Amino acid sequence: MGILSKKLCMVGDFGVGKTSLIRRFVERQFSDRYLSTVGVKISRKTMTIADSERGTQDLKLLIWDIEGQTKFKAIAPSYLQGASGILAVADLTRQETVEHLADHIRNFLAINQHGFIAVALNKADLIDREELAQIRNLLEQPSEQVIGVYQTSAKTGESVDTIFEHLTKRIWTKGN
Amino acid sequence: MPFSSKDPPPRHSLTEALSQTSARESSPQDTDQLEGLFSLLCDLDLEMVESAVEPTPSQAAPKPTSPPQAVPEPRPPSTAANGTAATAANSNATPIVGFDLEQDFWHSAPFFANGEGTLPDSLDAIELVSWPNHPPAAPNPPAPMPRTTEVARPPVGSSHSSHDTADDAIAVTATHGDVDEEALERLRDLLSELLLGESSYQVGEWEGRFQQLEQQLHDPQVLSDRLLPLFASLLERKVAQAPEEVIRALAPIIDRAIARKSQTDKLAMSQALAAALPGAIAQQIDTAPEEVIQALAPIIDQAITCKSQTDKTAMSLALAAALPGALSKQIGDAPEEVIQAIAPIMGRALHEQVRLERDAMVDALYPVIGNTISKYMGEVVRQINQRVEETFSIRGIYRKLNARLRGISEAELILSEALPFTVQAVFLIHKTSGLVIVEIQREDGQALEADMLAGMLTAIRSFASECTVNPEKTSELTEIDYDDFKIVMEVAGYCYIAAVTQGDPPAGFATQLRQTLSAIILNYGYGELIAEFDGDPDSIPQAVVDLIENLLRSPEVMLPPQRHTTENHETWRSRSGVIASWAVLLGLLMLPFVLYSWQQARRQQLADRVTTALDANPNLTVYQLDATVKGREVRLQGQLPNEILSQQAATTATAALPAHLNVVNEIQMVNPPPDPGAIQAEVARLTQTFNQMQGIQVGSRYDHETNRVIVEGSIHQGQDARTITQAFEQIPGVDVVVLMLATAQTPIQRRIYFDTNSNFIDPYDLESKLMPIRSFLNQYPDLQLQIIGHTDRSGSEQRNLELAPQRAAAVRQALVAQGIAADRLKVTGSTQPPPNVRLEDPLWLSRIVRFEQIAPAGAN
Repeated sequence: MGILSKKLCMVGDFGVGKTSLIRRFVERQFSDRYLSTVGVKISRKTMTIADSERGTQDLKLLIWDIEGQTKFKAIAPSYLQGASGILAVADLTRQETVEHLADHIRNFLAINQHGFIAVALNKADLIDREELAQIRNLLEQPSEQVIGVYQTSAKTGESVDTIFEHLTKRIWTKGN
Repeated sequence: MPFSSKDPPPRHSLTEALSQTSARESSPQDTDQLEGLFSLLCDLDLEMVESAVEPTPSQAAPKPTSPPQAVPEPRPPSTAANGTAATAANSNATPIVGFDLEQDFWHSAPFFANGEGTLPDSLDAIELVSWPNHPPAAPNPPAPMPRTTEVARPPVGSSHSSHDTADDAIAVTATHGDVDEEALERLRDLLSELLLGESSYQVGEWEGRFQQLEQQLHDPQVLSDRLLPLFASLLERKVAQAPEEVIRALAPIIDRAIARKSQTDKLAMSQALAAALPGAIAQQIDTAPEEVIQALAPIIDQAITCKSQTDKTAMSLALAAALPGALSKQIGDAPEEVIQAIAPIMGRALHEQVRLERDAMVDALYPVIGNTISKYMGEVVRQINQRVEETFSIRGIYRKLNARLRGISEAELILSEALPFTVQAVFLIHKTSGLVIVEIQREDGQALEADMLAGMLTAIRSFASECTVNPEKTSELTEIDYDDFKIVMEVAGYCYIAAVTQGDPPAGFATQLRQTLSAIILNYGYGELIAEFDGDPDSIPQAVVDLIENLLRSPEVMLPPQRHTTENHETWRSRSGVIASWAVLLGLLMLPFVLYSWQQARRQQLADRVTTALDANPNLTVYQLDATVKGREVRLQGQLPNEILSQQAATTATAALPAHLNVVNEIQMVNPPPDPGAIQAEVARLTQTFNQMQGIQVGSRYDHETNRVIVEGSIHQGQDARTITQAFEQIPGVDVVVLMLATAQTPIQRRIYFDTNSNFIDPYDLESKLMPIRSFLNQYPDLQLQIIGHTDRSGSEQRNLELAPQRAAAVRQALVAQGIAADRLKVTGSTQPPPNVRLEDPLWLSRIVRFEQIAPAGAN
């Protein structure tokens, strides 16, 4: 089978580190400099997923980095259309971004009810374990489409590859 | 009447008796039993005969009202000689058998003598009941002998009761009636004898009593009152002891019973069953759903139909909630079926909807249809315009002719108007996700990043549609221009084609895009192949790829798009015929114009040739001269300042033209308003020229207000001044030349320049400056020169003090080398700037050697 293409979207509030996660994942780089994404930026990464039953498969991920959302400026729904999955990103140092995760996930599921969601609690390097544990308790898992909650750090690279791999694998194996 | 049949019977006794009876397994049909009865009756007969002999003692019985006391009285019937005898008999009977019925039966005994008419019935009855009542004799062993007669009698009464309540029993006993005929006969005879013989006077009394009893027996109310409780307990016991039997007994008739009951009293039956039914049904559904289903299946449709007919609203309400879910489920599970089901009526449904609510339909379709129509119309209009322009416009024909006349190919002309059109790449892109479904790129070009391009295009399209002013209208982005590239997009429901093109797309290209997309959607869009595209390129049929690939070759394929199909061939041919005849007609009409144009072009060509020749003449360059060709004459027009130039112009023109053409010089002599810029330039040019001549060094400036040229500087020879004056006076617009020339500069006034920190004399200076000095010194042999070296301010003072005289010495040495006597030359140096050089002037002006004349010693 040839290479499959899949569309992923990054959603989350302003400044939670969506672009940084992509840069870490795609370009293996990190920069402290804050770049505000305007509109959409699309990145591409091909990865090989292995499954014990189904063998291996090359998947080409087209990752849409959508500009951060606020309470007053919702994400444009058409950007999310056709996405097989999203990474819902929150900033562990800003609790309100964690609280907004549920809204982002709901928005996505309203557009694509079969899509998968991976939750990334980013900037995990900036917070101690005690606080982290408390914040995780805030999270409810509102849907079975949420495949998991990961603590990520674009700076250290913690769980960045893992979250993309898990999400991609889940998308590939869905419905089978 | 102390003994009323209505008196409550001693129930316990009866119950006992009956239960014992039922406990016996004997059957009424049993002949042995009947035989037994028979013999019993025979015995009875005997006894009665005996007892009939001794009735007298019983006559003394004073109180019939006290049954217990009467027990010993053996013969109640016999004692009943008077009115109270009957009661006495009754009182006797009561204690013996133990229930009132028995008494009644007992009293009814005289009835046998009453008449033949009723007797057989009674007899039958007696036999029937005699067997069940027989046993009570056994449980009462202490009963004295006379009681046996009584035992025999109860059947009479029983027969009456059974006559009313049990038909079957009557029938059975009737068969045996004949058998017992003889015995009965005897019994009857005996009784009659007894009654008639001894107490005939009591017959009337007996009769009345008997009738009363009969009435009571026939009164169902009385009977049932007495029997009902017994039945209840009887049944109860029977059920408890042998339920199977009861069931078996009831089974054959219970259905009929229910049926009968249902017929006669539906309401009661319904009430009885109502409570149990729901539970029963629920239970059954639970235990055997299949059966319930099978039972209901055949009629359930009918039930629904019936319900729908009778109460449409309720039915609709009941189904309403489930319908949307059911539909969407079905659409999800088997879309094909739904489509098949709906397709045939879709057209009619639309038709009906248009009829009912035209406005709503228009509103719904407007965004789509409006777009489509406007797009289509726009294209049609463009095509028509283009055709009209190309076929009929004068400009189009003129362009062709002009191209031919000028010797340039028409293609070149068109090329200059429009760039050639090529398709670099074509992509079929999923509309929502932006994933590339099919990608075709030109092999020779630079490959485009299809994924990224498709993604960004999709994002831009999303952005554009988000930002549209009127969100209710679906507007689509159709073109993106950058430089001479263009991305043309044709958008369908779930996908769109993006073609990256270069140059101006021909009208046919948009049509081809649309046709390709239509073909893909009609043939492959069905079945959600495209709508549900999930990024797997292998799921796309090769045919789709081929269709897209055709677009890449479109510019070559498309040239006359109509010729591809044979269908269009005829129309094309007829159309081209029409166009050809139009072209011929137009050609004839345009012939004079064409000739005229040709002539004009030819004349223009000649005129251009003359103009070019005039421009080439340096004297005439600055003047604007026109040449026009008329017939065989070439007219020169314009203005020149003098006759000489005019002559020159005529000569130049004649030389440039073919011999058969005459030049008519119409150039006017004028003093044209001087062009200060041109004069200034000419003055500068002349000045430069003069400065290149030997011995002349001049500067000049032009004063345009007074039309004067002021020349300053020095010349070597006197005649140079005249040459300069004449030259400047020849410039048109210059009226006066003012010469401010110094008297001839002597060679020793010149200065030799040096490089930094150097005393090397430039060979050019050696030639141009020192040679004249040598001549000058030779011309004046007495003359002596002071040679003074200077330095600039840079460098150390010490070095400069050395360098300045070194430079002077170098010059003296050079002059000595040329044969000048060394003693005529004195050398000195100075670190100060030379005269006329200021401190702020450039340094190089100070790096010199200059000369001063020393008066001959003898002269002074």
